[in-house]
Amino acid sequence: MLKRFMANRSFVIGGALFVLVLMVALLADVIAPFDPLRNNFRYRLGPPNAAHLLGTDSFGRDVFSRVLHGSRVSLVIGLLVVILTGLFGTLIGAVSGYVRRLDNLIMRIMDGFMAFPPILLAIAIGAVLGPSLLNAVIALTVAYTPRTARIVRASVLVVRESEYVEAARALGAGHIRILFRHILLNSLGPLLVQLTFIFALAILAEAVLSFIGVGPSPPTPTFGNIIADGRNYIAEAPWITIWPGIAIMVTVLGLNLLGDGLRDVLDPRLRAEAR
Amino acid sequence: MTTRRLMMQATVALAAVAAATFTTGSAQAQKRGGEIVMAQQAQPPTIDGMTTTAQATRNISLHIWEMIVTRDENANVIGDLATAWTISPDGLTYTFTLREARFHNGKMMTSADAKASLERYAKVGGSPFMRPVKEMTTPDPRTLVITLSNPVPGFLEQLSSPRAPAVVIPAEEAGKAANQIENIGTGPYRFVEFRPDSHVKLARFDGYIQNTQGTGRDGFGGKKTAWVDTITIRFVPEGGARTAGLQSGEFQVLEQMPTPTAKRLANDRTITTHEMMPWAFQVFIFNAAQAPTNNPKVRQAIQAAIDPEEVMAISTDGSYRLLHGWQYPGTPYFQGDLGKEHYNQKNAAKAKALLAESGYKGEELLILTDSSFKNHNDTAITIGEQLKAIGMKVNVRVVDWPTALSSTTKKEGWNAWPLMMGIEPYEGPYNVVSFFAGANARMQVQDPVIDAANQTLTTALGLAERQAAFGQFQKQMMEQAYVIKVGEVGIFQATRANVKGYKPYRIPRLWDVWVE
Amino acid sequence: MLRYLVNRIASACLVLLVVSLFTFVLIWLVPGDVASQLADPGASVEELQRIRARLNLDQPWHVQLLSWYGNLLRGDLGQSFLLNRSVTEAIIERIPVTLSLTLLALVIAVVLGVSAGIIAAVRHGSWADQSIMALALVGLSIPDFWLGLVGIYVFAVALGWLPSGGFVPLLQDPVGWARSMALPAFTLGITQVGLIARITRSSMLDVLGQDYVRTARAKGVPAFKVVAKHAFANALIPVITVTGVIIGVLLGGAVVIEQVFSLPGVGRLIIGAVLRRDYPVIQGGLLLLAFIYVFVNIIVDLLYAYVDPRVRYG
Repeated sequence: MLKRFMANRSFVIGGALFVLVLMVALLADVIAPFDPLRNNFRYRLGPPNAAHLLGTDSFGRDVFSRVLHGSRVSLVIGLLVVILTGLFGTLIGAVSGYVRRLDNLIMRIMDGFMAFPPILLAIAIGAVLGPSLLNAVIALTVAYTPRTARIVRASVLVVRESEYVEAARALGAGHIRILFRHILLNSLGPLLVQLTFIFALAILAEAVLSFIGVGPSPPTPTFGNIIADGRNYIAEAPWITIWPGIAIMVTVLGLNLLGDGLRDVLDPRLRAEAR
Repeated sequence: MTTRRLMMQATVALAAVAAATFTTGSAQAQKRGGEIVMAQQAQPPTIDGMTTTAQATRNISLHIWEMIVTRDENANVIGDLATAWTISPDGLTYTFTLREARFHNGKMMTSADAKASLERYAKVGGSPFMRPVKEMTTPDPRTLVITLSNPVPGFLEQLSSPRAPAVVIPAEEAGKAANQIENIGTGPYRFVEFRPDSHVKLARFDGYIQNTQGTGRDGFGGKKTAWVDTITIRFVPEGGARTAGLQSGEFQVLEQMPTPTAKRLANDRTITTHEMMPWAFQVFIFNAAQAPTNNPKVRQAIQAAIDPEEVMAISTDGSYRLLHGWQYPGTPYFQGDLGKEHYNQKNAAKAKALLAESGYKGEELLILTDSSFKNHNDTAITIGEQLKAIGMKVNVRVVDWPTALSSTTKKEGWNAWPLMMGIEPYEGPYNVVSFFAGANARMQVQDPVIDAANQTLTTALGLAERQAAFGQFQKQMMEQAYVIKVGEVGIFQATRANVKGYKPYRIPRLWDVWVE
Repeated sequence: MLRYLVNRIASACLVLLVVSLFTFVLIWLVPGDVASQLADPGASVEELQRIRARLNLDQPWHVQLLSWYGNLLRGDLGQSFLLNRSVTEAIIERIPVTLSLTLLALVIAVVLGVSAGIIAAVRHGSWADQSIMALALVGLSIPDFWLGLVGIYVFAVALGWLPSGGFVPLLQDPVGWARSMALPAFTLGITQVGLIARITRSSMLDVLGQDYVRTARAKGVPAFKVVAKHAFANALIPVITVTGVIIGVLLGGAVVIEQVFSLPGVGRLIIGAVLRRDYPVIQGGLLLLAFIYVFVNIIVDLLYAYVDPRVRYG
């Protein structure tokens, strides 16, 4: 298995990029030359120089340090969304796929949520709850759970009719046991692939939420907040806007490659349209 | 490098001198015709000027309508549709003599229209100043008599305020609900169309009757002349789009240009930037009903800790001045150095001592702010960092503007709130004091000294007495540190260089402006 | 087929009911209200209360909900609090902008994506294939609003070629319209090129490997003809499916792009309404977007059945 992963170019490059971003996020305190919240009104909108590698923003804060710390916040949000989406999506999808009486009702409610573009749903929920890290996580979880639930439900539907589930049932295994031991374990591959892509989507969406002003409150550095700070100074200080965008791109690219690699190895039948 | 910069500066200076000479030399060269497109950030909630205090509406409505009395270039009360007025010695009866004016539908204005408009204002108007009015009579078509039930020294200031301007509409429209009127006024421009999320279009009213008492543009009054054929006010929320539009010539006037952009374009010869200083107070309001800011020592500690220069430099992008007073210098209620010792202390040691004295134990200070106004947001963040430095636990919560505004009317759920007060100090002392007086005082506690000052200010007929009352207000605000006035904010307005005669003001005026 | 359609439409209506209830609950959870938006920063409490009473916001929630549904049945989405017109009018005024943007972006995404996908499939394994696929993945990883800001910086601020925002109606000034839509449509479209390119490539590769294509090739049919006539039509099916998804993504993206380029579209209408508490506009706007989304997907399913004769809905 490991050999197959290591032979997959997407997986290796994506994994390397993601580990790089992860290390940067974990070591932000050590690498960052400045406190990402320290103001300096005497060097506002300063162009990049030896002290400030990526320049300073309108508060005179070091953009390089803010991007480093921003990666940490953005990754935490992405990770929480992945965990919660995985949890709720699995629960809802499994119940929906396994309990036929509830299937139609649950799926209609999920359709209701999926009738909005997810980003709009997240913006609306974020606007209602108010900007904070936790609320951004809630908004994105609500937006992406229906998709996960669908994937899980689809694989549950396939697996539940399979021979070994029939066999387990014939041997007198309980519903819960069948659901967890047999069905969910076999849905893990597609779920993992889906969650990797949701991680990528969540990082992109967090940036949008912060940019619109319904993400974590400033001065918290997140990729989206830094870009939002920079947009008013796009002509005077383009570096504030440009660098966090590149950081997003690298992070998301890493995750997308990783997801492609996982999919190729875990479930070669699936193609890009599964996203 | 140095020589080159010097040469550039010399060139710019020469150009400026040349431009100045040229302008004075051609002062009579006003030209009729052409069009002006002005870009403003916000879309007006309505065009119906008297019903709203929104600035986006004022920018437009004051071109369409005129007021009975208004403000001159220095914010003093002058006549607009009224040429003269008398006030009875008991301060109860105001008699206005109105000038000749024509509505855009051709009808001549009479005192009946003025009376009907004020009656509508009492129902749907954006300010409550009609409350003390007992009755209004129109002895003849040129005379309007307003009788108050009790003397209100600030009545004319309110009637003339552009905040939610008491404009005169035709009596036939006055029975209609807010937003339902035909937009017919007596102003130099008439309404053509309103396309939401896009623009409002106005056209020169050729039947406009000027105020012959005035000699030229004066605040919102004086003798107004409409030169350009049409005015289009476009709503462009993106600062970058507004600037690019001005640079490309798509827009001729910007209601406001971001300060860093104005500084960047200072040497651009196709554009003229106009600094409007002062534009507003930047204040930091405490909730004195909620711990820990219910403790005066905590508020005084914050007052001692704040570095106003850092806050103002960051939040205004460099267009600011540091002044402590609650009125602008040069206005009748300005109090000189009164209370200055409480301002700009930057004394961390004193702040920490006051905090220790107060018994502060690391309770969270919740600063509520909004993302709609950059100044608010940046002030909250910068002060937040300054307070962390003296050992306070700070939480800056950014909400949207409606939430901030409604949350801060409550006694719980916030400790401090940054606000730009623009129109109130411009109007004079009355709305500044009333903002912090009475049961709805914004610091959430009623202060007897401030309430007494407000009482005197709104009832005493002698100016000196009212000025003294304002002094008491200012002193109490600073000693109790209910609100910290951080500084004064300036803004930039900008025009294309071929727009002539433009003079910056609180609200952009496009009369007496022409295009070359 | 007809039964399938009726079923789909019935369930779509159910979905829309869920949506409308959801938006109503969402809106009533929001603190803050529209009165504060109509007033100035320094508005007094009494001033706010008078505005509230004027707009009937002081009525209990169930009265407001029932009257909204009552009006909806008569095709009336209500009156905007702030825009001085009905919600339907407000939406109709802005639909052209959002449609221009979404459709242009869709055309850009499909044209570029399908061509790139075909090239990659035909030159399978070559450097062209590899760089197209790499670019496609990079494209999928770029935040669209950020690309818009970079576009503004490069094309509007630095080069001055294109306006950085604003909308010019097509009928008023076609050139101005094209200029005003160029940056936003490219920004929005380009982020979806990668997805379409990937789908096109993989389904083309599938088809190119099929027996009948190999037979055609063996018979000496020119490569171009093989691709154009045999492979492409069959490879189109997954592309159509994903196009349905992409329209949804583009509608969502348009909301943000309209914000970046200050285009007066439905997305900005809704975001503005959310921020200013214009309840009727939020409800009407979200319902409309859900409506478009749901019905686009029904149409895509029907199209799917039309293109692929193997699919039959019972």
